[in-house]
Amino acid sequence: MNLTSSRSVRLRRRAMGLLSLLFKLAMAVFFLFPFYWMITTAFKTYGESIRFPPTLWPESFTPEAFSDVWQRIDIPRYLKNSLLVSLGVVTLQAVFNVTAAYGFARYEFRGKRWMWALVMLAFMIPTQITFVPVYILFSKAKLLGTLWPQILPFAANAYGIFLIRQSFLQVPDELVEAARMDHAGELKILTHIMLPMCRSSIITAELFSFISTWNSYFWPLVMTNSDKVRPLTLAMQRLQDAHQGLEWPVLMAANSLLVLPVLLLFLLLSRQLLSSFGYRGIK
Amino acid sequence: MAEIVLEHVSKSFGSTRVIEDLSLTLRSGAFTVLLGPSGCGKTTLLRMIAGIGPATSGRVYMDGVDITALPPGERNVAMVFQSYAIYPTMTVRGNIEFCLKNNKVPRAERQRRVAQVARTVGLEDYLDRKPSQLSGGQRQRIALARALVKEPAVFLMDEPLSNLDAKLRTAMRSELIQLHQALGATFVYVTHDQTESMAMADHIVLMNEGKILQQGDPESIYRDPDNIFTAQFIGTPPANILPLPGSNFRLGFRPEKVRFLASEEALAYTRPGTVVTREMLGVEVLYKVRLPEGDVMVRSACFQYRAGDTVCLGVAGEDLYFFDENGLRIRSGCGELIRRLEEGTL
Amino acid sequence: MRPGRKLPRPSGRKSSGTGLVPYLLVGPAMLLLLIFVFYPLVNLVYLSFFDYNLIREKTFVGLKNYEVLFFVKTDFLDALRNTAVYTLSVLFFSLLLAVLFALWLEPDSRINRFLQKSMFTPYLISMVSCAYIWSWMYDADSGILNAMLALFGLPLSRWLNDSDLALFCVAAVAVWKSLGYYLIIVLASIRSIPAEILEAAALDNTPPVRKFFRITLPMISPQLFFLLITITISSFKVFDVVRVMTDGGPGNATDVLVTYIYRYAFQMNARVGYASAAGTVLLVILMILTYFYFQVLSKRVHYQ
Repeated sequence: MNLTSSRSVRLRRRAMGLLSLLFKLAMAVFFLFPFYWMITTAFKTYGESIRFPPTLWPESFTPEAFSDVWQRIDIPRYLKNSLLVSLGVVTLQAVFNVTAAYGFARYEFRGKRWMWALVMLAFMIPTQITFVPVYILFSKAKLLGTLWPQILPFAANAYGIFLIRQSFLQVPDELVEAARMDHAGELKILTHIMLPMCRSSIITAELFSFISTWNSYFWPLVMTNSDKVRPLTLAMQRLQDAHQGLEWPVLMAANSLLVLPVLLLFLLLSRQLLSSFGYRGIK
Repeated sequence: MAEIVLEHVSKSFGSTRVIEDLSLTLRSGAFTVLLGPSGCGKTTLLRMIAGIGPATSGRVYMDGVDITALPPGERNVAMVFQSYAIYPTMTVRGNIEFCLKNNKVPRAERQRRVAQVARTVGLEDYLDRKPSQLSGGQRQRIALARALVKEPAVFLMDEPLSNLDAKLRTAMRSELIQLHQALGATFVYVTHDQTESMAMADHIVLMNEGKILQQGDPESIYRDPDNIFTAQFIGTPPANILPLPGSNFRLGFRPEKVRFLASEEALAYTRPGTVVTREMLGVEVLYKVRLPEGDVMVRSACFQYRAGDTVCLGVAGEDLYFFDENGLRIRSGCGELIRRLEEGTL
Repeated sequence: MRPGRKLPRPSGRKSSGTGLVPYLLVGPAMLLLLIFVFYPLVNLVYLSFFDYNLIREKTFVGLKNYEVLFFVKTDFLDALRNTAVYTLSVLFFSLLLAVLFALWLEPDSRINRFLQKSMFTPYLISMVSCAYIWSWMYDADSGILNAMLALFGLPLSRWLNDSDLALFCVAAVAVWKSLGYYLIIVLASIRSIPAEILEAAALDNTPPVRKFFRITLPMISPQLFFLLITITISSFKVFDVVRVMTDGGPGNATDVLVTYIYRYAFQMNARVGYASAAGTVLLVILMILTYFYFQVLSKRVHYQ
């Protein structure tokens, strides 16, 4: 092997590595830049926001847009609705999904086969199919002015039942038998063996539900008829409708309020979320 | 101490019959090994006694009391699972005292018993660790401690050593024997490893396809097999089985009973052959020798033969087993068979 | 017992004959699913045969709604075509980019993990927020994208206001938002290929391109199939991004199935029966896709 050629190979390799690194950073910017743009726009004045070419960093850095949002729409009420709906869904799912999953995983009973078939079918039916009849249902029940139409339809969720049942099934038979040998009753097996062992997948399923409810737009759009019950995702529309010509700083300020909780959650839990999403794809 | 009696038990899973009409008595205080190849039904029997896989029909008695319908937690038995079945979410202490808590044993008593058992199995320093932080051998000890702390009349063990490496397995083997001697409880031990069964058992129950083929103490099982299956399942290497020309019978002998003969010598069974392979074992050599009727294994202290050598093998009449066309041992009329062998008319 | 067949283990976990307990456990969830999934499903198909506007009594019209959908009006076929174009473009770019990025980010390093995390971030953010941000970036007058084009001296684009381009602009946002998730799945499946297989290929002196097509790609094909179906299903029910960014416009250049159903059910004099017929068409499409999904799923069981 020639010494100079091996050195040039090494140089070329290093140059490629550097290039690849730069390109990776550029890609990271491409995926994160929109969020940067959202936040910086929110701190610009209207005049600065429509300047062409735009400024990369706000000149005046003013919270004006945020106070504008605050004055024009009732942020606390939207926020309260979003939180109530998301927490309501998560709480009810914690009860109904877990009990149903446990029933399907641990018991044999008449009708189990077709009930499970129904769960799997429900898994495949999106809300975009059912919304018209469900709307009629809630309008007949005179519940459209409440938060229930946003909560009740998701109190049991086929996907959650499926995931949690899967993790109950993964608890080895021998553990349950060992617990029986140790004179543990059914309730004790549930609370001391099954639930602790499936803790992480239950939490993951709940987290997914929280995020998707918090982010939902289509369903509340269809199921609400007044701002009293609308969540934050629909508040933006108010800002858009209110004026002729879009005031981007105001919209981006409201958007930041919507994005930040989820972004913070992700920063805190990114490792768990990434691995559980990867796992979800493989299984 | 307790005696276990299984009476006409059967077990099927769906349409598969695993055990059909089996009866067995397990002596009180004995170390009984249920031995057999995988799928023979030995674990199924153990689970019947434990109460976690009830029999489809038949009854199970413990010291004369019918426990067929008794839930597992209320039988005075403890079980060590093959996978150990350690509760991963509890500490070592939590694992050991789980049963005591379920049985509402008072706190002070609980602590005393856990401490004592932990000392017995050598886990005192690990009581507050999570099982995932411990090695395979230590987890095995947790499983053992969990059984011990119940102070049961019967210990059930389902291949408890199969997940350990060879060295640890031998060490645990003698520890279990000592434990049995110290406790004097009834031990029922399931394994597919005949060496393990020979080493540990007072009483071996050899099973195949859901039936008991032979039972007895290790020595009688080894020396006096009732059938070809037993002769070939027990012993390393297994007994040699050869056809008897001119009959439906087969003949068998243990590898260590074969002698290399000088040209003028003759025994009841004498055959010329060629050495095919030679394996050095240390004190002995294991030869594979090709005879006209087939290959046989020979264990011998004669080191001088090499592959390719022509030899003459002989087995004495009292070391020969005869089996009929169904593989069952022929116990009467063997003298006649030996005489005909010597005459060369067989 | 035949060797190699696993002995059916007595399942100690399953308790049977425990009476009401399992029904109490499963019942509430089943009831909720019946009310909010199955009843609506049946009612949707039922309503599609009626003329109904939520106020007047409904009148049976047979297949007339379907006839109008397919043969009288052209806007439904437009929406169907738009949905198909949208789906195909999202599918093509998502899968291609997910595989390319996965190969590129396969070695586990700090920068790779960082990029992976960055790419995943938009997936967790609501589609509404993403749509608003991108609407702002696409803005024809003062958006950053046009500013970039101007910087390089390129002609400016109308983006979302350009009826030939709008649908692809919307699709690009969908790809941008979910690519990180698809990447994770492809990456996980590439990493689960046994190292021995790749080492054997290296010992056989396999060139990288052949290694990809003969070893990597076949090994990850089950996951790619899973993604193919998932992306197709989620693209057919797209709504949020379209509604926020273009609301079907300009004209009806970006009108898709769900915006179409929504418009007829809630905005155009509440033509519920007609909207239900369109919903039933979407249902049939999803059912066909679901069928393929389960076909693939059952095949995957044999594959592994």
